[in-house]
Amino acid sequence: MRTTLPILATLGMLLGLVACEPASVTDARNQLARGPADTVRYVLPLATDTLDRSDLDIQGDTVIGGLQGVAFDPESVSVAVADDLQFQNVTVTDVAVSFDPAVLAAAPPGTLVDSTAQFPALATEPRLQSIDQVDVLAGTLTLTTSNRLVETVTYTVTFVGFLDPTGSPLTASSVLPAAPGDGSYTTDVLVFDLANGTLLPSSAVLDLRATATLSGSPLNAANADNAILQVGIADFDVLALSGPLDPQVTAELTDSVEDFTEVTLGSVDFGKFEDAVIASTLNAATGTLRFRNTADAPVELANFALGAVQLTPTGQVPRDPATGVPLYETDGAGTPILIPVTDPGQSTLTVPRTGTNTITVPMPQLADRVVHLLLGGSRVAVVGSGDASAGDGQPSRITRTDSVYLVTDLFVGFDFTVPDTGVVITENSLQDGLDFTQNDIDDIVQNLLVRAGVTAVVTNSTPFALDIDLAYAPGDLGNADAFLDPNAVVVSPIQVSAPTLDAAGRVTAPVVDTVEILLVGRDIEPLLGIEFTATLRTRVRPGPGGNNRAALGDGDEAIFNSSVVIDVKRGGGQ
Amino acid sequence: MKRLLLALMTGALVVAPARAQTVPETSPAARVEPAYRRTPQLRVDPFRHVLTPRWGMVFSVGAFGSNNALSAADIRALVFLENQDSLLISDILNAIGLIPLGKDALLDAQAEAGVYLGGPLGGHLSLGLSYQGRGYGSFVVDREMVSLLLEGNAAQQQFSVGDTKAGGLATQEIGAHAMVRLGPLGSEDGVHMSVGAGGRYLLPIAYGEERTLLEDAQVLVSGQLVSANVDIQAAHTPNVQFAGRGSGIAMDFLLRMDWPTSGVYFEGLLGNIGKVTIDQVERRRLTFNVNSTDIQEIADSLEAVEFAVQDTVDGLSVTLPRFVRFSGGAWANRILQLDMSATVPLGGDFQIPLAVDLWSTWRLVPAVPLRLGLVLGGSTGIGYTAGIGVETRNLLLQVMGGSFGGWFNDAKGAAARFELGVFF
Repeated sequence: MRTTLPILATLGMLLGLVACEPASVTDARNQLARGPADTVRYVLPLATDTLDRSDLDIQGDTVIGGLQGVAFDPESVSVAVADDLQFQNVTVTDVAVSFDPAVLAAAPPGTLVDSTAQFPALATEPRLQSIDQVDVLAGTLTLTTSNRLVETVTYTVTFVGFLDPTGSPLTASSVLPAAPGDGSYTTDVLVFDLANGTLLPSSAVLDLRATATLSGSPLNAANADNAILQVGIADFDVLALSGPLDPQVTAELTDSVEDFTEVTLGSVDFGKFEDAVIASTLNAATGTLRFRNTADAPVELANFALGAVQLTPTGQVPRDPATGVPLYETDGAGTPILIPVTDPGQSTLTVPRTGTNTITVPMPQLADRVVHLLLGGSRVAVVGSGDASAGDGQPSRITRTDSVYLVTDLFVGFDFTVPDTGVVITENSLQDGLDFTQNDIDDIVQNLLVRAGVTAVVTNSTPFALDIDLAYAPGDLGNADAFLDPNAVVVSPIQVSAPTLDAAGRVTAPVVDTVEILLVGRDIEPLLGIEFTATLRTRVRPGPGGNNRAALGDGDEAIFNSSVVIDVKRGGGQ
Repeated sequence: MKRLLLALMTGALVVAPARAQTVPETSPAARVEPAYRRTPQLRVDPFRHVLTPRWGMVFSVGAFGSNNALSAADIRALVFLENQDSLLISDILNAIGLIPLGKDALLDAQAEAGVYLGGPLGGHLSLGLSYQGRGYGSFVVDREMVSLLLEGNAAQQQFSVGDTKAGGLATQEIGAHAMVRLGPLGSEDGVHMSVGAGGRYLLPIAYGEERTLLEDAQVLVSGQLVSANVDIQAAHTPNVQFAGRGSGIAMDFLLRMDWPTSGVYFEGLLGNIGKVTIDQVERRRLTFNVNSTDIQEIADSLEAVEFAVQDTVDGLSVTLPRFVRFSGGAWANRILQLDMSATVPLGGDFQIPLAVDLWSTWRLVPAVPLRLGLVLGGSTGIGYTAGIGVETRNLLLQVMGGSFGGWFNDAKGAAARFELGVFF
């Protein structure tokens, strides 16, 4: 261009010598417009936009079974398998000591009787027989000893296999008062603290030594049979169990478990589809349940199910006052929406010792309920509850801190049942204009532009038809609706046809449609300034054939191949 | 070659009928100095002052410029609006709309100023020495690119960049030309033949050019796609420098045949055969590749485009605008001489399109010729020329001007020449 300037200058100088200056701007303008009136059409590509999953602004964008979907943030619950494991009414011993009546009758006064005997402990407790070792958190062993001899009896008991925290067997001595001789018993009670002690059931033995000095009373012979009775009952909480644990044998290894976790609105983001989700029913959702067992014993979950509840204002799970069962969300028939958690083809789910198990279960109804509650502003929790059993008869060990952790990855597919009226998605956006000065804008509108039209050839492979209303107004309106702005330009509605869908709401074949926008006169003015706000109302309707069901495949997209046609007038002394 | 043949035929048509008329020896026309019979040109004429009637010195300045779109009034209107800060987009588009459809957008200019010393040595030899400055400039936008602007792209989407370019060259020149004059040959009424040759030593002063480096570069503009592969090189000397910037040689040749007693002549002039090499030329390059369906993307690409300095080179060769000019004329009438010349471009840079100059010289007062003429062709179609001279034994004064494409306000080009000579 710099080489052109001297040439222009030379020519201008030469021609300027022979030309008169225009009298006015209007004269000058008319001079330049002396050419014949003409309208010139310029056709330019505007954009090739592809509306696909990346445009939905979804966080946690994913694909489920070929459907576009969204993933919730993982939610965790933990099921403690031994946090309240306890044994009650454990019969440690049930002993009856009898004497020979003839010996007692013949014994002169002052005869010292010193009897020592060993009795199996826990012999009547199958619950503990398959357990090698019980580490006790807390508990007591109550030993009640009765005497119907008319003699004072001194006794010492030692529980072999019942170890105190130092590892020594539990032992104690006491005295049984003399009975009146009428067959009734006097009683003495010894209480052993089992806290932090250890039980070794297979070697549990009661070692009893009793001594008495006979008075020579004939009543002793009359009460010789079952003269001394001893019953030991233990109640204790378990810190750890080891051995061939078998819940079939030890019912305490099976416990009811329940936990919940609150699902927050921030854990899921449907992006621009949120409005559509609110107005639709979700037909596809999958939960991937990842179990992890910290116990060195397999854990079987029975009757385990996931449900959803609306939390109380204080964040608690609401419950049926009568049964204590969580008030789960229900379907239209009032039936709680519960998702059974089992291994495929099984009625229970087993998590191997110190291992994991992952299953996938469909849960569209639960997901739909959770999503709509969340988007409706409710506090929602997912509750997992059922029975957990530890052990399988093989050598195992569980501790009070062992748990089965459940991490739920919930994926919701964009498979909607959309109402007949469709759903409206409204979006405001601030756009840069072409940044012309006001003089240039007036010039373009008044002198230059005949019309501007945008034509878009839309290849639509989404399951939706789109009815688009567009309005734009100069400046930044923030979130205000441009349709309500007095300076807004409202563009004629645009309709994009939908493909035919199959029964599952999936696109059978894309459809090609052409849409046009025509702008004349001042319509274009907001686009020429610094910036403008556009409000887009898109009514999404399902395509035909799906019975209102529309499933958005991961590869579905709408390609807008748009061009702009600008007719510019020129010349004619305008 | 077609244009050359056309010019030869045109000259022959003029000369052939004129030869049939005989000029009496006593005719005033016959007493006109042969050198003055060679009608001055508004265009470049390297032999102009070799044929001075006697030794003397001539100062000359002339300029010639034209375009095929904007008239003088248009240019004044643009300048006026710009000065009023009122130039609008529609004004610019209206101005662009004045480019004739189907034509290249053309802008060309030439200017020269110099001093000449020359005269006859004996009866058969003339010498001329010259020192002058000369400038050439041209701007061409290919007709297909013009079509894109004028007709849009609704009907046509593929456009050739063609020979779109712009450039300018300024030189100072030292020249020496000689002419051998022979005749009359055969008889007293025979032909007087003049054969001339000369050369000029050129020193470039300044240079600039922008042109595409791609042959047959195409631009596709459709509703679906804009595709362009543009590779433009801009070369220029960063400042004006009168020495040490290279050199060049240009040769000029002339063959002229006069039949004085018949009052006709025919002349062929081959001029500006040469090149100039220029040193210290800074080259910049603009590469722009776009293949997009997105107008915003295209706009962003254009915003990012700028020339990048490529290198500085010596010895850049520029071919001068070669031309051949066929002239013929007759002065059978007592006071009237008619001339016709066709200037045909023969390649090189800064060419001016083929133009035919028609002159009538009226010697109502023999020493004060009045000249009126027409120009056909060139960038403007038709033009009008006029001039007045004082041609005496010791003094030469020429004032000439031209208005091309129309009169004054309607003119799309103009030319002027002023000459003042003193002979000893």
